[in-house]
Amino acid sequence: MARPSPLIMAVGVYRFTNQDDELRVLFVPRFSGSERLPTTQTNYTIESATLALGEQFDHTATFFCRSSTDYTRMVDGGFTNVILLSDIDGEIWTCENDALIITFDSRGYTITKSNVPDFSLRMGESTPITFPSDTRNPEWIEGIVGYYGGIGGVWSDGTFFLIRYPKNLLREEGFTKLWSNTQPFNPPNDPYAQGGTTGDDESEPTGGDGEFDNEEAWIDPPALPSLSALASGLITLYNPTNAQLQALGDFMWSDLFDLDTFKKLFSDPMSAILGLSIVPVQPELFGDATVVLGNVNTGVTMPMISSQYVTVDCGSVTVQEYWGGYLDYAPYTKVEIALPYVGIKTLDTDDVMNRTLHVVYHIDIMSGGMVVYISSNDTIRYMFTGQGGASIPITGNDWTNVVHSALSVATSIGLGVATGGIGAGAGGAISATALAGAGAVVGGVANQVIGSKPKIERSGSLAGNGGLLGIQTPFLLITRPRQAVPSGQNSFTGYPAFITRTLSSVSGFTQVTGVHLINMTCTEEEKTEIETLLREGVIL
Amino acid sequence: MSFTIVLQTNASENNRLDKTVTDIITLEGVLRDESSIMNPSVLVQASPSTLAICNYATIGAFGRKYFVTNIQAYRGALTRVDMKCDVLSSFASEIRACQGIVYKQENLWNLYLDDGTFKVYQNPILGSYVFPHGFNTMQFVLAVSGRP
Repeated sequence: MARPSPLIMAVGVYRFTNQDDELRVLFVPRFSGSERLPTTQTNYTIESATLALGEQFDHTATFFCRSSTDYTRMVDGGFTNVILLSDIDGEIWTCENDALIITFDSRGYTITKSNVPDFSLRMGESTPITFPSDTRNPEWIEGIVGYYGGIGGVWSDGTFFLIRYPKNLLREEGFTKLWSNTQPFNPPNDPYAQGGTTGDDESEPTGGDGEFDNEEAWIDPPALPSLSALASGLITLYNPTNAQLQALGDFMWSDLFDLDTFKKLFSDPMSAILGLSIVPVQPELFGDATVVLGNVNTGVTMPMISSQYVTVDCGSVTVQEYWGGYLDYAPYTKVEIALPYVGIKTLDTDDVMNRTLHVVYHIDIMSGGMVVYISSNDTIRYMFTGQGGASIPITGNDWTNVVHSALSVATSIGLGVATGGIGAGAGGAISATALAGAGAVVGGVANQVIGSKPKIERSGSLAGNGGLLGIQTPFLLITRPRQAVPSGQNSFTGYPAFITRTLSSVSGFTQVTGVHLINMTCTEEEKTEIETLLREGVIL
Repeated sequence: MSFTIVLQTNASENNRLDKTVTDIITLEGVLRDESSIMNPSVLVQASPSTLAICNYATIGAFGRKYFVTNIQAYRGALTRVDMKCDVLSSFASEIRACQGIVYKQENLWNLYLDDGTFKVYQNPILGSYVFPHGFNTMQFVLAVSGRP
């Protein structure tokens, strides 16, 4: 086996978020012949340097760090950089005898330690993940990599490895070339670039590790119930015309109605008629039949209703942005929907803006009960109940009940009241508001204008008889802010941006909220003034 | 120590990096005692009336550009010119090489960010949209006990 050439080469460029953008390389011993490492020394000077990609550094000293304390000292208190060097022209070498492979992340936290005497790995391959306790090496500290010397590189998944050599066995013999042509690797410098990481304890940065799954399922209105009162056979629903109802009434009040024939199931013939109502839908029919009341054939023919339930599809409306900005959304823009037989309901603007709303009613024509489904982009977002049948009294009791219900509805309609605006302060919300850093200007900040407006209830319950008198088609009410934009505002104060840019890539008025002033030749005082001016806004 | 000072008129905003300046006069000046190069006070051989329209200066020896903050007759034919470093113009190229989070920008924006930039009037815009279908019929439903 050829002797390795005495070069240590950086094979990648790394950037870390809490360090400056400087690559620091920890040098591991360059193997030189069959020398043995001393075992008694405890303090060694670790050299480091800054290398660019491909830059070589000829290092001939032999050194190693015997303890994690030394290791910690040499990384200047921050988390360490990556040991990312290979020894011979991009090839990784390791020792086959009692070598330990340590895989760790960019923070220096040990992920695995594996005692693998014999191994052969290629770039990107991983060792079995085991983490045995190592009583022979008490200086190993969880989370800190202490090493005795070795060489390392980068797995393709972004973790780093260090192949640690046993003490006193840093020899040329036994080194085995693993692979050639290590590839440069650029780990993310932002936890959110790959979904973030979590710390091992509360002192570490956490969060940013969400799944970033923005799936939105299609949720359609359910099917109508499969079981209805009509299936019992104990009740029949008819859909009579005016003339047919009149004919039935004429029969019942005539001498033709034979009470002796009337089955003694009812004390009152009118009890055979369970109810008469007006519904705002066309029921499904399956043909005409003669109405039989308590076994008395009335001779009056009416269409029979085949289904207790009916669906009414009111169609779709697409709500589009007006301004194309944040003013189109809550709390600045408000959306309400007027629903027949329900009333006026408030919708969350964020649910409907730039989306298609679809309204579907499911109606029980026997009770008049309704459920309204409002979908936003094919996903149900709202469900409201209503009452869509108006009972027609045919007995004295019926009349009392109907009038009582109507009075209750009228009372609820009259409950529209004005309440205070959200966050409205006495005298504050309507006054003029000053722009930051400028004098008082006309017009209010959007959220103050919203807060100054009282919240009005536009309707109460529109059920039953009230519903028949109300609107019959749903509609949306949208209240949008009226923007006040002076000409050329963007050149004076800029528009919201919040992006990272090299300042040479932008022009015009620019205001920063954070800046790295590096490679500046000015004095400290001048640099502070520059940063202040950039935060106030400059013209590039 | 004497050096060349170019006295100019600046027509641009103070917070603009690249200023439009017009040279008025080039002079030799000396730095007054205990005067810093960030806020120099320079003595020049010129009358105040000549320098009256000068509000800007460049001193190549210091590598900086300056706002003129005061022009004062000194003695004899000397005039004292007090200046303050224009850090934006002096280090414009270095500033442009830096990276930052741009919070407000004239030509690059995201109007979905709510930072209170925009004012609104008290009278909102009211709109309404009708759904294409509704309830368009009224029907009787007669419920009868038993079967026909």
